[in-house]
Amino acid sequence: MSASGGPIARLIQQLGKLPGIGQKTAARLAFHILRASPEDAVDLACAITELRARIRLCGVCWDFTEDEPCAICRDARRDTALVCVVAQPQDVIAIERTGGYRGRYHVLHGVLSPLDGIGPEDLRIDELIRRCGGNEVKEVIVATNPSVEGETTSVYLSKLLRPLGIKVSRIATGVPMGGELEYADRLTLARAIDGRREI
Amino acid sequence: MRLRAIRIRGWRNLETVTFSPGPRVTVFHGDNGQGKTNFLEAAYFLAEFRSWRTKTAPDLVQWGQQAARLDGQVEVGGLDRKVEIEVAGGRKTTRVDGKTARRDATSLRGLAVVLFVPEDLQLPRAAPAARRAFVDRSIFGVDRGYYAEALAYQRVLRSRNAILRQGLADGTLLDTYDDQLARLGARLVVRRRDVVSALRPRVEALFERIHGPLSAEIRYHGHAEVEKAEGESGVESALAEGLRTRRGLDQRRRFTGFGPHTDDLAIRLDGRLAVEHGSQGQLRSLVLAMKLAELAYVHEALGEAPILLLDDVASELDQRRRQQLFETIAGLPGQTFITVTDRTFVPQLPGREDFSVVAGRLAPGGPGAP
Ligand SMILES: Nc1ncnc2c1ncn2[C@@H]1O[C@H](COP(=O)(O)OP(=O)(O)O)[C@@H](O)[C@H]1O
Ligand SMILES: [Mg+2]
Ligand SMILES: [Zn+2]
Repeated sequence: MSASGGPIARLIQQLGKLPGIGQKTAARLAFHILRASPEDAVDLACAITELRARIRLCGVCWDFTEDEPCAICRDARRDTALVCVVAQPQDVIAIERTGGYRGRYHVLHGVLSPLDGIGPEDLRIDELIRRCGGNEVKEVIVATNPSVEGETTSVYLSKLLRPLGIKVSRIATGVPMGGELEYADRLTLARAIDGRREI
Repeated sequence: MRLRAIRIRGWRNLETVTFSPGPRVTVFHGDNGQGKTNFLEAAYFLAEFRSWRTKTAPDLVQWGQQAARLDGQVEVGGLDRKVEIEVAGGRKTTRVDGKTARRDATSLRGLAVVLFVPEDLQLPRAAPAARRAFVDRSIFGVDRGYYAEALAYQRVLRSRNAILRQGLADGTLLDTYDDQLARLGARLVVRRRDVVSALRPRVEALFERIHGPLSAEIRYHGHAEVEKAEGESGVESALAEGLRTRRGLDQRRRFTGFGPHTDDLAIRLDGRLAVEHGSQGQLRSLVLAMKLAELAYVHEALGEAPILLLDDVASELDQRRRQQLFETIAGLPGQTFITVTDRTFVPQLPGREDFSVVAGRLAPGGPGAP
């Protein structure tokens, strides 16, 4: 139908780079966009452009944000002494949905995974240590997944943070073994935060 | 576990067939290369969600076909369950009662087979990994969750080795992996010790029955300093300590040379290492005793017989040991599937049903031995 390199082929190629989208699905989406109303298509394009233009990383917690620092880091009602460490920005959304957590966050953007070539320097770990070096932070909750990599990351962090006098705990109960934090239901997650154990 | 029926489609060289084995002994006979082992492999896959012959699922798909499918009806703990396996597009899907099920799901307890293949006869002479696998299989047969524990240990081990290879000098990072390795490793050691203790008296008694009055002993064998440690936390400390003291060596060699991944199963006859002092016949009797001990252990722990799968083993054993094996099988309450090239190797057994396998086609092969 379209020569390779044409607009359709280009869109299919770009969509195909998204996680979980194969060539077939990419083609289906591309033709869907083509058939949608012009306004919808332009809205989608603008949303993507705006996303990249306006969203940055918060310089305090490294979550995605429009403002610097982010709304959570600016919220004076939230406890600055308590920091919940998560692997991904999606995990912040999952924990916020529980409605019960009143501390702050720190987003690592991954977990330690030597088999994938991901070491401490690839994560926002130095930033966390620096943040905990002051007098403000007293307790850190590590909320990485209970996978081998998530567990290892939490042990590594506790080894770095405890000498700084920080109380380190791990959310352990509730989140099923091998389960993804992102998909854990709200109640389970809330219970997990309450039942955290010190490591 | 009992296999009530299995529908096989696109599996290796087998023709599409729905097969309902009897409650006791099923004999598959035929010339070499006809597909007898392929039947055993299908039954094995239904319980194990993998094959002992290949790690690459697409090997199982009949050449020129898109997919291989097994639909099994099994009875486990008095409950009828439906097991579906599909291998297609390079991936396998495993479902139990309509829901995707993983190999390590503890809810699948009782879905169990014990496999005996000619390579097992090399067990005393094989590399330690084969003997560790023997120990691990007995644990897994009773607790499928053990698979996840063993995998987690392997993953931490491979991660630590990756760090050693990269020559990273982050001491805290290595401390972290040491901690994890010690914690997960202690769990493996304790479980392996326990199962070997449960197998030991059985091996001893079975060997005497099969071979005669000579004491056979199996013992889990780890590093000296870990051997002395008791209980999971004791073993964990000993493993952590061992990793710490050998770190320099590990860093020079760029791999982890200490831990349960290097352990072994020591097999002795009258106190002497069987592999060095045992005769060929004694070693064969030992393996037979070990396999029958595994069967008895899993049977007792589950409260129900696993399916025994014997691939071409009869032809590898002499008259006496073959007779011992079949006497045991005659006394088993569960199902046994046997492959042989020569039906006369298998004696008349209770409930025996024969099937011939020719070019992947199954045909009822007359009742009992000819
Ligand atoms: N994926 C496959 N598709 C078709 N045939 C296969 C496949 N894999 C193996 N075979 C054939 O299966 C036969 C071996 O079957 P097997 O069960 O091992 O024989 P045996 O009766 O000796 O136990 C061989 O003829 C081999 O070519
Ligand atoms: Mg064969
Ligand atoms: Zn922030």
